[in-house]
Amino acid sequence: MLELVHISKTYNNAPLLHDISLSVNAGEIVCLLGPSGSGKTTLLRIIAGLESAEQGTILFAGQDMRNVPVHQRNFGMMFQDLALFPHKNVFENVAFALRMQKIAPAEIRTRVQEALDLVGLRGFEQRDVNHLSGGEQQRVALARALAPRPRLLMFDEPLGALDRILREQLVADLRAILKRIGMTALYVTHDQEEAFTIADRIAIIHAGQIVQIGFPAEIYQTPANAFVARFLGMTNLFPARRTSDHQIETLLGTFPVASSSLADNLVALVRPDRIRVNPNAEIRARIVECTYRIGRYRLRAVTSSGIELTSESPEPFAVGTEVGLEIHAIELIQA
Amino acid sequence: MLRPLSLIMKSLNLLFIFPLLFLGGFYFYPLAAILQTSFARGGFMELVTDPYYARVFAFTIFQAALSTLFTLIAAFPAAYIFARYTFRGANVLRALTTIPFLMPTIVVATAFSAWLGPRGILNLTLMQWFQLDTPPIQIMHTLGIIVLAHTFYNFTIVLRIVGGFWANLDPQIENAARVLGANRWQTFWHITLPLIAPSVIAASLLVFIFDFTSFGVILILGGPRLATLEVEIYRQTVNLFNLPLAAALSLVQLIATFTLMVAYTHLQARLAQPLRLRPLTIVRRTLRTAREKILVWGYLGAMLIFLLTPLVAIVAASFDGGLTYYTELWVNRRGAITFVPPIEAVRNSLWFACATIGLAVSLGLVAAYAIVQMDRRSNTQSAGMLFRLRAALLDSLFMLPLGTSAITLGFGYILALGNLRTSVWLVPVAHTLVAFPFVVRSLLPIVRSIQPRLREAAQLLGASPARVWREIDLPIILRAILVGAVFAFVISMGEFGATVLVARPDLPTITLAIYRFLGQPGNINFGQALALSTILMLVSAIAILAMEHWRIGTTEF
Amino acid sequence: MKKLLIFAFVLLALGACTTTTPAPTPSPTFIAMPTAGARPTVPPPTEVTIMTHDSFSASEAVIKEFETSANIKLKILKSGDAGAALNKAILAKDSPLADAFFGVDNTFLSRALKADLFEAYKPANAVNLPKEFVLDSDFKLTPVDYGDVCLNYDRAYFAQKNLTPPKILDDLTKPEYKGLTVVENPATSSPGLSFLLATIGYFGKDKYLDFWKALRANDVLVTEGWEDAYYAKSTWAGKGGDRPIVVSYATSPAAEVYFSNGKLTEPPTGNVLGDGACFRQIEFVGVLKGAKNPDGARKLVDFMLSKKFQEDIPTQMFVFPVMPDAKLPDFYKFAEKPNKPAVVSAAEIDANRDAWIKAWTDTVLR
Repeated sequence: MLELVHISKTYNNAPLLHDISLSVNAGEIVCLLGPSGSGKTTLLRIIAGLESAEQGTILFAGQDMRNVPVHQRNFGMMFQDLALFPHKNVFENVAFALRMQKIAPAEIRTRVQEALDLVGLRGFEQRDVNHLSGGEQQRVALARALAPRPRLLMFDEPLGALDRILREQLVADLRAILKRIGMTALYVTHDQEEAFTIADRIAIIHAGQIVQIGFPAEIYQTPANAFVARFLGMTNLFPARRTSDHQIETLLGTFPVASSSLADNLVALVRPDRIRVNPNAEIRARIVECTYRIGRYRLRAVTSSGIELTSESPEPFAVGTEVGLEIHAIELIQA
Repeated sequence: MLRPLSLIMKSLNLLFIFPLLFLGGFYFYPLAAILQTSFARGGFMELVTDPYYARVFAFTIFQAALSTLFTLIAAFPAAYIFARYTFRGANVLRALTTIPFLMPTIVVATAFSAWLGPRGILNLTLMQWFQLDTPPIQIMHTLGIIVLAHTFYNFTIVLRIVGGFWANLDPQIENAARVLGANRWQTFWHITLPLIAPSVIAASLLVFIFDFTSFGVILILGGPRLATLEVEIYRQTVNLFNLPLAAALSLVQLIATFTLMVAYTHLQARLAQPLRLRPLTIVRRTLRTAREKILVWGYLGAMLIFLLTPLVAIVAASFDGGLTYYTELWVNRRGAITFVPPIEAVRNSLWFACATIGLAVSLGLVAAYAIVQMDRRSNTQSAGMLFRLRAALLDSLFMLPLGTSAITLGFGYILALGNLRTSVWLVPVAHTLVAFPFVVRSLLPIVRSIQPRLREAAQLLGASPARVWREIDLPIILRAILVGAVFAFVISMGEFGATVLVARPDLPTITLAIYRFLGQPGNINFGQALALSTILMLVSAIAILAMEHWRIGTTEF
Repeated sequence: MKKLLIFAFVLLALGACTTTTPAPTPSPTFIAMPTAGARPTVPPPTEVTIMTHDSFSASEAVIKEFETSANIKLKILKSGDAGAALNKAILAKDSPLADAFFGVDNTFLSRALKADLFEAYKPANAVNLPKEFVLDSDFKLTPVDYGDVCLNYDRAYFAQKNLTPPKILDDLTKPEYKGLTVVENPATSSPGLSFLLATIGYFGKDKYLDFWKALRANDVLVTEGWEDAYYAKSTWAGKGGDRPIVVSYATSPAAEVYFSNGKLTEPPTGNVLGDGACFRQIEFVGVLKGAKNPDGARKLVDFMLSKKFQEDIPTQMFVFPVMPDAKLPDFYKFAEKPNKPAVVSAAEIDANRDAWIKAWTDTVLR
């Protein structure tokens, strides 16, 4: 449906986006996930037509978007700060795009109604948008974006300002709504949990480049590099050196690995559930933190040589306790 | 140190007394004194029986409306360009647009004459090109030149007030409209215009009142056939000494101004929206496409031609005799006791301007906050209507000095102010009366749009009330204060009508000195007037640039 | 916030208390005022304030000399143009702003006398005054200077067009002078009013409007003030104007030479001096009733008739001194005088001024 081909853009001679290629299928929700400043918002604005790329092509349904002005693209967008029209009430905010299309008043009423129903704001038509709660404003913005039935809906961190509980609930609702109407959507966020909840596929952006595209599980299971792993909150990453085909050397010692194509610049990743407490283990460490996670405890421990490790355990340990840690599996990723 | 916010707000309301005291002492009291002395039924009888005055009234409104419309149309693109783009020389350009505002009318009249007069450059050129016997442009002493001159003078009001507000408008709202399918024109009409409407209306109001009470432009450029109320008041007061009629006319002018203000405050209250204001660094961008560059620079070029050619005529003519006119300024050739060394005139002007800024900005700030506070209360309290009425009434009262004839007030001072009549302070006080409404108008839209949440957030974060004001309000309203301060400055530098009535001859301003030179025949006098006008432009431009350069903090609002 | 509060408070307290208590307040000192140096041997000088119009001027040296000899500190209070200054003095009658007033002319003489502004004071050398200038025999107002309002014309223009300049007022309505004349509005300008009076004196009260009708038909241009007429409409001064005949002063041609810094040896303009074409303005000084320092004011009146001041007048104010023995500066050889200026009495002017102006306005402007 949406096809980005080799998009590049610079700002003040510094590259902002570099050679971005991405395709979004009809009815698919793709999430652009990356830290702030990675260029994801710029990419969204380029797709919307609010900014132009220096190189590359944007195709939508096979049509080149280069010469289509913003208001004729029929793409929807929900902005970071919502950008509700403060001088219009809820109804007029939602009806705005329909009025621009010169749709008959009766139909406008039905479609605004539909959109408000969809977001659960029936009866809010005459309310002043300035006096709504944060969550309600979010819903108005969504209804406004949905009302003209855009061919593509884009979200620019639309939930950034909300508290966690509300956000989690809204993300789930949002996905349900988008799926119900089969909307093609691009969702930009820096919050990995939001991304994993809403997305069919995730593209991870770093410094203006897409570093990995894949299904959520895929990305979680095989992060493309150390940046992705770290960004997804993974710890226990250590520089590694391959000593032979089946063996690597790290600060924690040497480990056998399966042969792979990766050669230099390696990082060893140990997932916390792959480290067990074992009194006889070779690696000795002192517990510095012990927190409860649903069903198990997460331990932070520092080895005698000063390396920090995170592991899991079914039972708690007091801070300061000396334990042995045993590494069960190790993965290799690109640095 | 965490005082409840309401307490500061209460003290703010008490502060309201200061602008009121000021207006009471220096405006209402002398005004009442002169009206009381001169009021007689005969004045009103004369007013209503002679249809001439109805025509004067109608013409006053008509020319003011027409001038306001043209000023808006001419300056609107400039407001947009200066609000939304960064380009080299923007500050210098904006400072230049302010210069006309402070030029003495008689100097501008000679400059217009040099360009547009029957033997002006334009007419001579056209006559030569097309082999004409009579000058094709016959604009002197017509409505046309009145509108032209008013646009020339008041351009900067629209540019600064609308542009200042526009500069902080969140562009994301416009982007949202674009994405929702609105083209540029629809976005402007349905979104941008309603959001900047409060500033557009505030600027229109000021321009209208200025045009409505216009004096020099009508008298000198419009010629004796076209008279406004203000001109008629002057004639009746000074030349015919018919004080009853002058008082009746003054009252009509006051009532008209007041009615306008009340209508305005109603509109303003309805149109104002709580807005998220954005720093300039987010709002402004560089010129990118070739089309953008051509349009913007094309417009700016036209603007410069319109605003600067009369000024250039003055500067060029001031060098007609090489530097003679300038060197002559320093020589007291006749040993006259009335001689004014130019440095002294510049110093006096700057002193008066600084005092005016101080007075007008401090009073204006207090007044703006108090009005907003009353407005807010009108939304939350049961006595809402009362508060709204009070706020609207006070807001309207503050504007009245703008609608009052300088000569009426000047005569009121003679009657009412006792020993203060010859005080040096009367000059900045008179200037403040004119500048204060400008400061209030520049501040109000911004102060209104500061969301109380911001202040509350800062307070909860442990900021003292003073700190809250400095950290939250000040950075946001600084730009508006600056706009107000620049207005106070140029009003003070250029004001003549009131100055001539209250200034002491031992402390003449640049403008007064210019008029003195033009009061006598002779090439050297004319040349010195132009040289001093050039100095006035230069000093003012430098001062305006310096003021605009001054900022607090790094985020430019 | 606090600083702002204090600042606003101080400013306003200052303003507020000075308005409510008219007690003598020390003059604010943010600009240093010149003060007379106190000498131990003589008593401190008394202060005399003279209220006058914007065109007043005098030599610093002459004033200093007067101040020393009379032991007086002179304060000059300029109060707008001649009309505005007089009206201000009338309004302030109950608590005068000054001790003496200079600048009442014969067109306003009666208004000033009727308002009963002045104390009678006949200076010692008043006997030497030519009779024609003494319009108030009580000497409430003493003549000081006089000047003629005449039509100036552009010599170069008429030479180039091979046209004879007009000689008498009747000439102005001739077709060859169509569209050449600028006059000032008598309702707003002092020379404008004087010129209207010249036409009334010359043509008579019944016929002057016929002249103005004809002049209007001959495309006369009316401006509000002298500055605009002279600097924006004339062919010789300023830029862009196309009118070679302007109502100004008979001394203006001389002033053109004087203010050319030696560039001009001959005036660029001439005067229309035919009989009745000019009107003579006489300016008066008087001691204000209720003056704080009447003695000083009287000394000032004496001084203004003294030879020193009289001989200072031509270069400072470009009018003639009333005292016949006062010597004129060299460049006054270019300052011509009409033989027979038009005559309208001050009483008649006062009785009819408004009606004449109104009739003129109806005839010429509407």
